Amino acid sequence: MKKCLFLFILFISNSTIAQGTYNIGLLPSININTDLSQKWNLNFKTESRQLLKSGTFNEDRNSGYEYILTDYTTIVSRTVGLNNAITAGYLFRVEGDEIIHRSIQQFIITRRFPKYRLAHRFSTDQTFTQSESPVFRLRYRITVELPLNGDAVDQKEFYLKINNEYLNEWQSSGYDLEARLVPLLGYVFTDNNKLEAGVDYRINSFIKGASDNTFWFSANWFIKI
Amino acid sequence: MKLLILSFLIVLGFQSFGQEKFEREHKISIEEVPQQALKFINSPKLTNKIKWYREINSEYSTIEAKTEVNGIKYSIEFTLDGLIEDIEVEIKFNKLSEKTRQNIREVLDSTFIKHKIRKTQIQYVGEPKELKHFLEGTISADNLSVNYEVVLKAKDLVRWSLYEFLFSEEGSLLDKNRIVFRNTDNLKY
Repeated sequence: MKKCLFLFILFISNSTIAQGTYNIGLLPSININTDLSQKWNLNFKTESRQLLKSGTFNEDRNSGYEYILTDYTTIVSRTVGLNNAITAGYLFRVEGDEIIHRSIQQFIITRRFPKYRLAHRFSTDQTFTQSESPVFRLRYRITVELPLNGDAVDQKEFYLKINNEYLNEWQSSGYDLEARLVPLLGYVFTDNNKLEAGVDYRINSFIKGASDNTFWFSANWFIKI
Repeated sequence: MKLLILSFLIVLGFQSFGQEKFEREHKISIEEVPQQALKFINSPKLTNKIKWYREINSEYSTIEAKTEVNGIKYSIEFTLDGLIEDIEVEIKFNKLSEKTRQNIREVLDSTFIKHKIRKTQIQYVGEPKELKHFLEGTISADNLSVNYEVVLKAKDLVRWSLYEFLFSEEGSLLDKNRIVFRNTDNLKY
């Protein structure tokens, strides 16, 4: 985890940020999960993006509120072994008049430790639109969940969740790397009803020079039915 | 017919592991510890730091004190009223007698397709006075009854799960629970 954070800080050098662009917006999501059987699980997620402000770090120019898109994702997961899962899913994105399709494959490892929980997610996805060439991504995400009360996160307790993700992206002959750092404060109403809120910081295009920085105010509601 | 037998075995498998243990352990302050438990632990011979926990299971809750005496880690379990239940010490499975290990393996082999023992604890049971003297090192374990608590990863006909089995000193099965993990959806998605 420390290594990941160190790498993340390395990527965000001052020079790339100073000349870069920024976007600030809202990223609310609802995550509904259900067990299909003892091994199979279904996840449905809807997430929308709304831009509040954007511009360049060294300039005053910025734009106002803009609704961007809504994603609808369905993922089927199969438990493998005690703590692992293989998943496959489909994302349907509505962005203006355009419909975007994405297929998703993931391998997730979750681990329990005496005072925290950890998850590694290895993921690939393929995005298809009518107007652009297909985009292929290879992703790795590490997630740590730390209780803010006691040694485990129980009902009616707060927790801290930190995601750190790296996304390799290929489109036509171009390549880009995106890094994400997402600190979230969570609250457990019941084991099957959790709410998280925090900042989803994303940086990309920093390999080529001026970076694109996005700060999403993220709110995630997880329900299991 | 085979399908019918398989379905029957699966259902039987679920029923036999109807007991599920939810893992919930909170650290608690000394003010929350029952007086009787504090009185038990209060001994000039127990000088090391004691950490107190409340363990909440699906059926009952207990108070647990964790400490170290002469390099050995002890877990002392009390009822919510502070009555001593048992003292647990972690040991290696291969330190158990050959006969006990064989009996435990027979139970596990007949219950699961595959299994792997993750943790073994000796559970010392006896009169409160004897348990206290044992903890202080003034009497040996020979004066106490012994059970073995075994935590294992195992696969039945359907899936891998984590289990907690309790065996007698000879390796006869006394109790079994499937350990239920907390929901991980917010870590996965």
